[in-house]
Amino acid sequence: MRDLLLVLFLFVAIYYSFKKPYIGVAVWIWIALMAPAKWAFGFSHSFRLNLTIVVIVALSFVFSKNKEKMQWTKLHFLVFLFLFWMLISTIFNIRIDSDYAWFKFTEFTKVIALFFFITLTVRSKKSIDTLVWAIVLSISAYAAMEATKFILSGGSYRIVGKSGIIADRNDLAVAINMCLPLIFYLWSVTKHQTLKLGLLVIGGLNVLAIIGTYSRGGFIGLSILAFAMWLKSNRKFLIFMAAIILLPSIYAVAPTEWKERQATVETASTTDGSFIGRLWAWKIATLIAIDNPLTGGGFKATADPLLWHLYAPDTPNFGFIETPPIPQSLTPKAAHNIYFQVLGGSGFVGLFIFLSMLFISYFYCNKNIKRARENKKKWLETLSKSIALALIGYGITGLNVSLAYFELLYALIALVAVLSCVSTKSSQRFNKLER
Amino acid sequence: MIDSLFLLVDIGAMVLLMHWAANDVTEGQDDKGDDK
Repeated sequence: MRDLLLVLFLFVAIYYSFKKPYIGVAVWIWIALMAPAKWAFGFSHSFRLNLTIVVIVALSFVFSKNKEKMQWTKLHFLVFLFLFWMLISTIFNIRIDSDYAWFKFTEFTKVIALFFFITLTVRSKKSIDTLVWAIVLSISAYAAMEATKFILSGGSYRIVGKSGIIADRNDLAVAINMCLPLIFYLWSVTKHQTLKLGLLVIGGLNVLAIIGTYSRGGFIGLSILAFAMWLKSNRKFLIFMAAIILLPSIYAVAPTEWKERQATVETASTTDGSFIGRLWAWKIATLIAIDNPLTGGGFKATADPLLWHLYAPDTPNFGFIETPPIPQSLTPKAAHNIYFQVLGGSGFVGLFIFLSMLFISYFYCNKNIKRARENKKKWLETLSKSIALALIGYGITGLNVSLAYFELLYALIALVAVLSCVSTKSSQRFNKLER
Repeated sequence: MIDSLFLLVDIGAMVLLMHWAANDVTEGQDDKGDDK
């Protein structure tokens, strides 16, 4: 049944993608984040849905009548420079299985292709909203469903991601944190009362979903995101009072296991095996980068058995925090931190480009907010604020996960680039965007 | 059961989204750009 549903959906998506290329891009991101083929059990399980939609988007763009001219920004330069640097690091990778680095590079190329097509096809408010809705209908809708299971189980159900892109619960918590401000944006621009209510329910369930993942990093990220949203809000007193009343009540009804899990945050560096494992991975990533400052070790360098065991003896006294020696039998671990992931994978140069990309995106967001305010474009101001908050959420919760090459990040950067192209003082350009 | 229902609703929502996005109707769009 699910297979038939997916095939039917594919045909409908192809039809609409040929009508407007940006619809194809929205379907692309939905498929990339949802991995719907993984939900099927039959013949469509092996479907290359993503590849199909990529080809459709490319063809649709080629045959579209009203092609807009590509507008280049500094963000384009940085994103493509990062891709180029990942190519260099893959060529010179020192992994024992070099093929895996090339496989990951191919995957990353597809992510950058998504970035490219967003900046190529998304030009109007409608296309921007379509893309944001597609993102919310993938991650936030899934999180809302998982939160419903969490409620129905009385808090005993542990929320995890679905196999595909966001299988890990920590990764899912990051993705949900990034989408929360986007839900807020859609809520603020939507006039339809039922849709507004639906978005409010999804937002509430998403907060619950972060709690239900039991991810400590996710919860810290949520707290910081809530604080940042409060800072950017116009109703500070009202929200403050609501938080004072609601938070203690929510904490009182939270499952005991969850409270115990969160209480371990303070002692994690000394007693928590999972946190010490991360410290080992971060140390190994840094050691790889010190020996290979320009190109690093290649994609997922810390998870490579050869590199892990080569640098393991140097870890106990390296850095600011002493760690116990790494047991010989321990399986190599992923970096579990976006910054160390890039550092180990592509060296200090790669990390510099990656950080520049994040900072410039945030800087552009603030510039877009300022210009939107000057031109009295409330929706554009809210959207830019939401993306800025999503980037903050990513930058903080990313300390806990290996999501440096995550589709959602590059989709948001692409949106920032699109908005910055029109966000000039010319009100004519703004009006063109709203067509 | 919940998963199947979710997939059905989510795909349905995506189809509605595509239909809305494909329509060029812009009447009633105010200056704030609130068109939904």
